Amino acid sequence: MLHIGVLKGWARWKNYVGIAGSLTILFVIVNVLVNQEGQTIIWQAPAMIPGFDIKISLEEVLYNLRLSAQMLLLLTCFCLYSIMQDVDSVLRFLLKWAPRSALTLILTSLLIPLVRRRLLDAQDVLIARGACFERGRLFEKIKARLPLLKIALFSSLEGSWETVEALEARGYGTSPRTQFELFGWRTADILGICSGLSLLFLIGMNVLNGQGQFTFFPTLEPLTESVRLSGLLFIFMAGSAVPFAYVLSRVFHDESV
Amino acid sequence: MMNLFELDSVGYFYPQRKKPSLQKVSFSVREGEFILILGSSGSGKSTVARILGGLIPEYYGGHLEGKVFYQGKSIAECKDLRRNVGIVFQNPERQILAQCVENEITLGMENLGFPREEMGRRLNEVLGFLNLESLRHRETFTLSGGEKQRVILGAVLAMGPNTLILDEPTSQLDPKAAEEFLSILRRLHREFGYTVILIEHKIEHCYASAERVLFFDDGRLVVDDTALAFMKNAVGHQIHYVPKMTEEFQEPSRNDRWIDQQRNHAISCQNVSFSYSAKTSFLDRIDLKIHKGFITAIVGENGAGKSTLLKLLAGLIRPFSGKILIEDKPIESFLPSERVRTIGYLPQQPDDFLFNDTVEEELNFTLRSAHISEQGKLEQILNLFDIEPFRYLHPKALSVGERERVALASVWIASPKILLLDEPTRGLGPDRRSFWAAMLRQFVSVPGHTVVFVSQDIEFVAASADHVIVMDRGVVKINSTLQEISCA
Repeated sequence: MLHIGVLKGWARWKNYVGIAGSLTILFVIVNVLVNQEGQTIIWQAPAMIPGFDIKISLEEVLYNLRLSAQMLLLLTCFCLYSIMQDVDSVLRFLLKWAPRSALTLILTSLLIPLVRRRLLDAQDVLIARGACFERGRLFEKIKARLPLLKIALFSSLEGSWETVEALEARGYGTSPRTQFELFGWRTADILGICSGLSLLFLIGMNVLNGQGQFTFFPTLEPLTESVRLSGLLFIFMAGSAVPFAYVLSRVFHDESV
Repeated sequence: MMNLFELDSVGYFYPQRKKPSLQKVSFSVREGEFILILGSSGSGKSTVARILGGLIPEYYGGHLEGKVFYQGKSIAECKDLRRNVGIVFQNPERQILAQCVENEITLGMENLGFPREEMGRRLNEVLGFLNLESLRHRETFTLSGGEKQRVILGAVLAMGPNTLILDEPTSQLDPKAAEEFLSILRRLHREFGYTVILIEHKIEHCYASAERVLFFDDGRLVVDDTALAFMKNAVGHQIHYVPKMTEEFQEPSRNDRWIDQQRNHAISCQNVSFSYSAKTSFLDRIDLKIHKGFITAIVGENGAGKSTLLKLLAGLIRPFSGKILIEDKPIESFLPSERVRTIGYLPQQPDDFLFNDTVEEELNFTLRSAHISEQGKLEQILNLFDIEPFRYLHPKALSVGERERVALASVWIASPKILLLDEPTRGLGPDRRSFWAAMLRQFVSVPGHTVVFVSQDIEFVAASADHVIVMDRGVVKINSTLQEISCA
């Protein structure tokens, strides 16, 4: 989170929070309906249908909170990667060492927005020709949308042919490649790898010592010494990220200048 | 001057095609020439460009007959062809490969293994020459079409070619960007001696530079002459590739006498505003009346709001504020099937949106959606558009011109009273422009029928429209008859 702030990525992160939020709501609903293992009941729905009780327990709430935090953490990692990573650098790297994968990356990164735009245009055309995507049951709605997929498929195939032709015309694969921008180890890379590896090591040690487990059901595990230790470790790691984020911001700032 | 290219009895079949795309084509290209290649769609122009650029047969496969030489050597043996011959294609969207302008320009040089210092020098030269300095670190997806095409030209120039092959490079650009692009080509030819082989439909701006014209028809090279001789003789031989727009503007408009008699409005917009985001207004308080029974053209630069206005008129998007009346009825009150029978809408490159397995199914889709009973309608439309022979064929198996006819027929079959078209002639040659002009005229010949089309093709507007709406940055600047505009 701190890194996202340093890299001024809040606007992009908000999109990821939106995704995490909607998935969390889905998890909560499914969990409340399916999981009835918690024993500390904090709310019970009035009995409407015999044999179909809905209870919300403290254990379920905390379990869902943990799931949501995990989800947000994972998505934040993706978000951080997308902010920090320069697609062209990845492309250059792959063009040199894995040309086929590079081709796939080019086609994917270029075609997804094109296909998306084509789908929107196609939707307009079909609506103008009387198609209705909102009528009927789910199956009928899906069936009405099938032509859109057909159009997108044709369009993306034709588009990829033209893109690869343009790459071919610019001498792709004719000579050994050189690079305009050289890759070198930066302070940020070394710091990032060191910090990542040390976190991995600490987490590994923690798990091996049996401190990475917490039992939610049927009742919450008491906060033992090991759990408290894990919490302290987490606070220590979060604290150590502050100076790292500061160094990272300076490095990125210097390089962008 | 020595010959750069020599083609001797060249024929070519694309893979799995029985009909040749080129037949016994022979010509040569001298160093430093500016050659304009003309011809209708499917005549073999792009195939010639691909052969000269070494993409056929290497990339396309197929069967190539005859001999092709580059600087006296067989083109297949030329190892440095990519370094010497640069190609720019039609669609800038599909040629951009990198996310940043600088990376896009260096990509080709990296592929050819240029040393780093050399790349830096060439990059700076190209950025300076094409006036792209300010865009150097911009993300390519934020560029306009004209800027993208200049970046692609820059990427090609940086590879250091002596020959440029350009396949309709301005077809996706607005008139201003197209003129800028063509003026760069003129400079490259005159000041730096580049050999330029240009396939182009915007012929008005090309004749002044072209030294030779190659005219193709049905895969054959029909004319190979100087530009002046071509222009002198073309009209007498029913070849429509000569400039004519100025005359069109001087003619009085065909339908002006009706305007006072017929004051009914097919479409009326009252204070219509629209925005894609909450912060900015894209269309601002549009007040507009479109006369019934006429052809109205909406013109303006890229981003002026033309296509958005057309989508609003088609009911595909809702205005942020204001009212749109179709034949005095609010557009939102139309049921989907009723709307199909009232408004026909076709986007750019409509043939891309054909998805059924046969032409007949394509037309039946509209009939079913609009709840229209068939009762001979299908036969009538198949014959009107001359697509009966393709009735049971897959639309994608047809030529581009035939596909366009199917696309228009798929809308026409619902008998709409208003036809809305977005850039119907974008990237088309004079023959297909004539088809569209004739069809639009036929449509409005039915009493009460109206056509509104968006276009940047001023020649086509001059040849076919009765009214012209000029838009600029989301505002209607002029709404007048063609005659009034041409007099002004």
